[in-house]
Amino acid sequence: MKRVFILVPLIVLVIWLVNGAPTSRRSQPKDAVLPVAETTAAAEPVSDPCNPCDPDGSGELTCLITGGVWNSDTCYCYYPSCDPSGLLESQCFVTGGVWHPESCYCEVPSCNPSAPVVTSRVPYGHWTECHNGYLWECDGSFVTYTMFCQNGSVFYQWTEYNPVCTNDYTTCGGGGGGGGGGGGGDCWYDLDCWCPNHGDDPDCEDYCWWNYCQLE
Amino acid sequence: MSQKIKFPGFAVALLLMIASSFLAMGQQVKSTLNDRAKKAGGKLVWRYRAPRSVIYPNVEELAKRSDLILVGKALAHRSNLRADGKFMTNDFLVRVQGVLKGDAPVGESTLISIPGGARKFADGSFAALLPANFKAAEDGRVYVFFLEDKKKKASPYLGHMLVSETQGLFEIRDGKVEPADSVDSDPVVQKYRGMGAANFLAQIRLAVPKKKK
Repeated sequence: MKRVFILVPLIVLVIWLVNGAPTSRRSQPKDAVLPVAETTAAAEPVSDPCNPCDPDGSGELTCLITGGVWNSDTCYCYYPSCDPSGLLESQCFVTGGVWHPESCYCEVPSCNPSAPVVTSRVPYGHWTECHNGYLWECDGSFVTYTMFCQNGSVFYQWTEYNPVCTNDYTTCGGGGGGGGGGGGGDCWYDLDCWCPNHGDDPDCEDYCWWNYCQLE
Repeated sequence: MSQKIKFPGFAVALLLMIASSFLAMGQQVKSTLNDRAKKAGGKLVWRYRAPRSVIYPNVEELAKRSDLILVGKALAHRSNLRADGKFMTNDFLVRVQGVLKGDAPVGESTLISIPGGARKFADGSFAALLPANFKAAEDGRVYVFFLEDKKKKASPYLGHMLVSETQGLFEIRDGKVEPADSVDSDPVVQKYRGMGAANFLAQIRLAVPKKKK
């Protein structure tokens, strides 16, 4: 039996050594410090001579993408708190709770709220947009989410407007502003097209500045 | 490869003076969103076009005018109606991962208010504020925010505001920069869209005077 007590910790130690340092995605204990300046990332032009320990910025980028906090003076990356992904904190925010970063505890009101459920969806709004040379047809809906308490009362409710856009590869826009308001034909409302009062741009009625329109 | 566009100082100053009357978001609007929604038959989608009276040529200019420049992950958001009922913002809870300018608690979260959002009013009418030509921020994504410090300026919003509604937000995605502004002719879009994020951050850092230690 004694051998087992010695063997198990040894196996754990060997596994730990083989895997090396924890990867950046894993949660780190508070104030854990990882030097990532040595890790490799996509090559960038050397652009920051003021930052000698991370001249190409790759260490910083790796740190930020993996959710770390970057100290540019020391080129160290650390993963804050017991909630490195921020998931717990975001859930706490949505439920209106009070977040305690030092303990990752969310103080929620006592009704034990449910997960949000869609309680209404009201389709409204249609418009076109021109992005990257393609015409997008968009439709929107007002979607209401509700979180219920265990006794069935409403704990929290909010509404979002969710646009859904599709394209069928119809092209639009062309070269953009260069021509300065000519007739071109492939100019779509909502973009920096002609104004004021271009027929294809119903929003653009009240105010125009540098070929951009503004409502009201 | 970026080339510097130099604006003469007086031109920038003149633009700023002209701009100041337009900068406050939605302040020209006379009625509340609730009234506008009712007038529109119960549903209103306001395709909000942010003022473009000031267009900065590059991040150096943006950086100069920002109190705070943060890199952070948008964790979650809520929409909030301004106290006068005429404007709405999405208030993003942002985990601060880096501070390029100003003072902010690194590793903690802060609130950033960006035009947008939706609401169902007590009378059953709906209103949404949908910024046009601007890709809305999304939860879970990493952004660079050029901000006005809420502590330095009285503001009707809960969070820090972008120093430029159109140009003050950049997403870092797949190691590249994606400006939230989607007007192709905007100089900041032309210059930084698709640029390597590390290079972009370095350019901002170079534009910000180093703190004395």
